[in-house]
Amino acid sequence: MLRRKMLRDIRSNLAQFLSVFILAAVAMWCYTGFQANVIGGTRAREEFNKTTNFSDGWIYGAAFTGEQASAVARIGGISDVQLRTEILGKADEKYNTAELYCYFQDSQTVTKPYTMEGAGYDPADTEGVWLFYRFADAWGIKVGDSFTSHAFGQDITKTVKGLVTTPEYEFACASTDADTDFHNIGFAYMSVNVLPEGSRDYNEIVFTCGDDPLKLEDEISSALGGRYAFLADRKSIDGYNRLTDELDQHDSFSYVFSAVFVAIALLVITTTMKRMVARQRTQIGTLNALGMKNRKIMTHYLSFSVIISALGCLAGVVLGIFTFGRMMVNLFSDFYSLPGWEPGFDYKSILLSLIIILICAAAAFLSCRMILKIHPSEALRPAAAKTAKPCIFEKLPFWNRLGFTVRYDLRDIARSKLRAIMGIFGTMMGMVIMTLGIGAYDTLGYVKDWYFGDIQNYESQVLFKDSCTPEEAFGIADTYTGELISADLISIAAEGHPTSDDIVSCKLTVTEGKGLFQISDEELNVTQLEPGTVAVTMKQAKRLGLKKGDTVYWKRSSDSEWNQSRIGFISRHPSVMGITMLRTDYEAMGFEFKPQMLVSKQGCEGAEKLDFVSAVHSKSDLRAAFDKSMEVMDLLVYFMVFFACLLIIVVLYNSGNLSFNEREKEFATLKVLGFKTSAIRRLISVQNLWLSVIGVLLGIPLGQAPLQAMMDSNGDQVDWPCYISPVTYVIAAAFVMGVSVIVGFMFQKRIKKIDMVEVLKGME
Amino acid sequence: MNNAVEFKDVVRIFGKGDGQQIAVDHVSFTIEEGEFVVILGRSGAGKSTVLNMLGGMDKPTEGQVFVGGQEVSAMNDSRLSQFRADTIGFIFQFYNLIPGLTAYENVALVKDIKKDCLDAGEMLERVGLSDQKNKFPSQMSGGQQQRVSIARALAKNPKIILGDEPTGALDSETGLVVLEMLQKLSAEEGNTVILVTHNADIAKCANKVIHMRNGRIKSIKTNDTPLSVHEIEW
Repeated sequence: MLRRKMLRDIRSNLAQFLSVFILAAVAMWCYTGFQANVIGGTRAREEFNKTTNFSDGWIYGAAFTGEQASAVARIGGISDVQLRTEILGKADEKYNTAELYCYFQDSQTVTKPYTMEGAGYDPADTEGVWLFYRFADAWGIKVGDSFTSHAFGQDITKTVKGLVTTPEYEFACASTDADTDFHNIGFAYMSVNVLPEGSRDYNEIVFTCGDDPLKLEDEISSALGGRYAFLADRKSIDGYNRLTDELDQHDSFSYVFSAVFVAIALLVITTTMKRMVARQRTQIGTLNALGMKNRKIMTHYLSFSVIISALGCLAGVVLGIFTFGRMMVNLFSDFYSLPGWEPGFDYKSILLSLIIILICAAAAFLSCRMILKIHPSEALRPAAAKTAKPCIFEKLPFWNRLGFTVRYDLRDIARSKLRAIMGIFGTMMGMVIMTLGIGAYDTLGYVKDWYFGDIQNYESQVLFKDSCTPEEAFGIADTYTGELISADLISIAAEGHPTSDDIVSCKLTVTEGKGLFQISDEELNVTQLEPGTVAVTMKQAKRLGLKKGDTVYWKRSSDSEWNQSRIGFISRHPSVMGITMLRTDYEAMGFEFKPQMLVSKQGCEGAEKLDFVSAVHSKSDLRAAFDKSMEVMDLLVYFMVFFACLLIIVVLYNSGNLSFNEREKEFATLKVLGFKTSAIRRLISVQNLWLSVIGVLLGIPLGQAPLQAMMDSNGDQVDWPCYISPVTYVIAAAFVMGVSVIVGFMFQKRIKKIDMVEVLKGME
Repeated sequence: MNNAVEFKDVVRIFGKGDGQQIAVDHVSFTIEEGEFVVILGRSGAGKSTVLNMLGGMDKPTEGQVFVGGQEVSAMNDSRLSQFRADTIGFIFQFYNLIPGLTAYENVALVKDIKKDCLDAGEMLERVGLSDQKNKFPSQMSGGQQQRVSIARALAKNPKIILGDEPTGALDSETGLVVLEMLQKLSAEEGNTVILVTHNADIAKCANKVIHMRNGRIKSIKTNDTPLSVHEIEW
C-alpha cells in the first residue's frame, strides 16, 4: 500500500521530483560524458604506451655512443634504453616542405612506432620510410609510394613501407600554425644506415624507468660523464603533454559540473521532502498510531529520494556514455592521434551515483527525522503555524512605507531561508556557467582580435621553403616591404648551468623589429623591443621565476652552448611561447639569421609562384584556419550555455513551484479576499526576480576566475587571457531574468485554478 | 427592505456520471439587507456550498445567484474578484490570516484591493485588539486571530459578511465574543451577516434561519425576537 502512496505522492509533487531526476541525470550525464573521454583516453594511452614501450626519459646531447647507452642502462631503475638520432627536417616541396621530424635508429626497444597500416618499422631496412599516418592521410600518401624528406642537408627518397604513430605525437602542430594542421607537420622513421657514416650521430637516448626520470639525473650525469645537454620527462614532451593537460581538464570539468548539479539537487530534495513530510504530518501520526514502526515510515519516505535519484543517475550514466561521451571522443580523437580511443566507463560512475543517491537519501532522512521524533498523539494534530517574528528587513527605516507585495515577499524570504538560498545559489551557479560559456566565446573573439589585430600587424604571410636562401628572402622582403621572421626550438633557463628540471622547452622568434610582427606586454599592449634585450613569455618567465631586467639563459636545440640575454619585458602570445629577440641582436651573438617567413601589409600576389616560397596565407585564410581549429571550443561553449539554461530553468521553476505550494493556502485566502490572479502572480514573480537579481549579482564576479582556470588548464603552451564582455553579463543576466519572469507567468494558470472552497474547509 | 441576496432555483452538482453528487438541489431563498441569517444543517447538508456560491467562490450548475442586484452566477473570474473585493467580507473557521503579516498588516492588506476601505487601526480597535496590532498570528490566541479576521472583513466595508463556522475552532467563551460582535454588526451597523453552522443554539440569535438537509431547504424561519448572544446556552 505504501508503494501506491509513494507513486501518488510522486505524482502530486511531480515538478519537484522531476527536477531532482533531471538534476541527478544531468550531474551523471556530465560526469560520465567527460569521464567517458578521460577514461577511454587514459586506457587507450596506457595500452598505447605499453605497446610502444613509450619512453619515460629523454637525454638530449650529441654524439652519444653505444657504451654511454649501456652505462645508462646499468642504472638501477632503468629498464630499456634506445639510441636515436632526431632532427627536424622537411618534407619534399610537393608536401609544402612541411615540418618533418626524422628519427634514425638501428634498433627499436623504446618508443616503438605503432603500425597503423603496412609493415612494421624495421630499423634494418634501408630502403623504407615509415611515415606519421595523419600526415600521410592529409597528403594522400599511400604505402608503397615514394617519399622524399630533407634532413642533414640532403634529400632522402625512400619507399613508404608503413604508416605509423607514436605517443610523442599524440598532439602535433607545426611551429608556424596556431593549431593542428596535419598538412604541415609529420614525422618519419628510417634506419640509421640511411645516413652517410659521418652523419650517424646519435643525439638522443630515450629510456624507460617506470618512475620520475628526473630523480635519476645524478646517476645519469655520472654515467654519461656529464656529456649531455639536458634530461626531459614526459611532461616536457609537448606532443604527449598536451593530451595529458586536456584529459586533466576534462577530469576536473566532470567533477565541477556534476558537483554543481548535485548541490542543486540536494537543495531541491531537501526542500521537497521537508515540505512533503510537513504536509503529511497527520498521515505520519496516523501510521504511527496504527502501529507502524518509525523505521518503516522512514524507509517509505527515503524511498522517494532514493528511487528518483537512482533513476536519474541511471539515465544520466547511460546517456552520458552513449551521447555526450561518444560525441566528445569523436571530436577529440580528430585532434589527437591515439589508436583505440573509445568511450570508457569505470566503477567511479557507479560510486558517484551511489554517493548522489546517498546524499539525496541523507537529505530526505534529515527532513523526516524531526517529524518522526514527535509523539504520535501530537503528530495527529496539525502542526502549529510557523512562528512568525519580525524579520531582519523590518529594521529598514523605510519598512512601513514599503508596499504589501514587498513586505510580504521579504517576510516570506525570512521565513523560508532554505528555499531562498536554493533560488539564489542555483541562479548564481547558472549565471557562472552561462558567463563561462559565453565568456569562453568572448575570450575566443578577444584572443582573435589580439592575435590578428595587434600581434599580426600584417595582411599576408609568405612561408619559405627550406631551400630558400637568405638572399632570396631579403629580396622578396624588399619587393613586398615586409618583415622577415625566423623561428627555432630552444631551451631556456634562469641559470647558466641548469638541471633538467629547471629547463623549459620553447621557441625562439627573431624579428626585424619593423612593427609588422608585434609583441604584447603583460597588459597586452603592443610594445617595442629595445635593442640588446629580449622578451620572454609570461608563463615561461613565471615558471622560471624570471622578471624584467633578469638574465635569461637559452640555447638552440641543435647547440650545446648556453647563451644569455637581458629581459627587456615580459611578453604574452596566445600560442608561441618562448623568447622574442631582434635580428640585429641575434646576429650580433654570432648566429646566422635564416628567415622562414615574411610578413607584409601587402597582398603579396604572385609570391606563391616563386620557387622558394611554399605558401602564401592572407589574414582571412589564417582567421578561417583559426576558426576551424576552435570548433572544440565552440562545442564547449554550446555545452555550457545549454547546461546553464537547464540549471536556471530547473532552479527557478522549482523555487517558484515550492514557493507556490508552500503559500497556496495564503494565495487562496488572498483570492477569496478579492485579490486578482495577476496581483498574486506578482507576489511569486517579484520574489523570484529578487532571488534572481541576487544570484546574478553574486554570479557576476565568480565567472572570471573559473574561465581563466579553464583557459590555463590547456597547459603552458597556450596563453589565453580570459575576457568577458559587459554584453555577456547583460545577456546572461537578461536570460536569468527572462526565465524568472516566464516562470512567474507559468504560475498564472495555477493561481487561477486555486480552489478557494478547499481553503474554507480547514487547515489540512 | 431590499433583497441583499437571492437564490433562484440553484442546483450545484459535483462530479460526473456515476460519481455525480448533488450538493445543492433546487434551492431558492432571499435574504434582506441588514439581516442576521444562519444557514443551519448537519455536515453534508450543502450549507457551505451555498455560502461559497454566494461569495462568488463557486458557481451553480443551474439557477441564478443575485447579490445586491448583481448576478454573481454570471460573472467571469475578473468580475468575481472585484465582487469579492467590493461586496463580501469573509470570516473563516480557521481564520486564514497570512502568517507572515502582523495583525495590523493582515487588516491593512485590503488597501491593496479596495480604495475606499476603512482604517485598519480603527478596525482593530473595534474588535478590541489595538494593543495587539504588531503581533503575528502565531503569537495570538484563536479568539484573537478570529477577531483579526473579523477586522479584516470589516475593513473592506462590505455589504455582506459571510462566516463559515466562524466559532467552530473556538472555545464557547471566545465563540460568544465573536458571535456578539457579528450580531452587533448586523443590528447596529446594518451589515447583512450570513453564518453557516451546525450549532442550533447559534440559530436562536438570528433574524432568519435557513435549515438545510441533503442539499435541500428543509425550512426557512423568520425570528422576530432573536435572543441576545448572552441569552443562549452553548
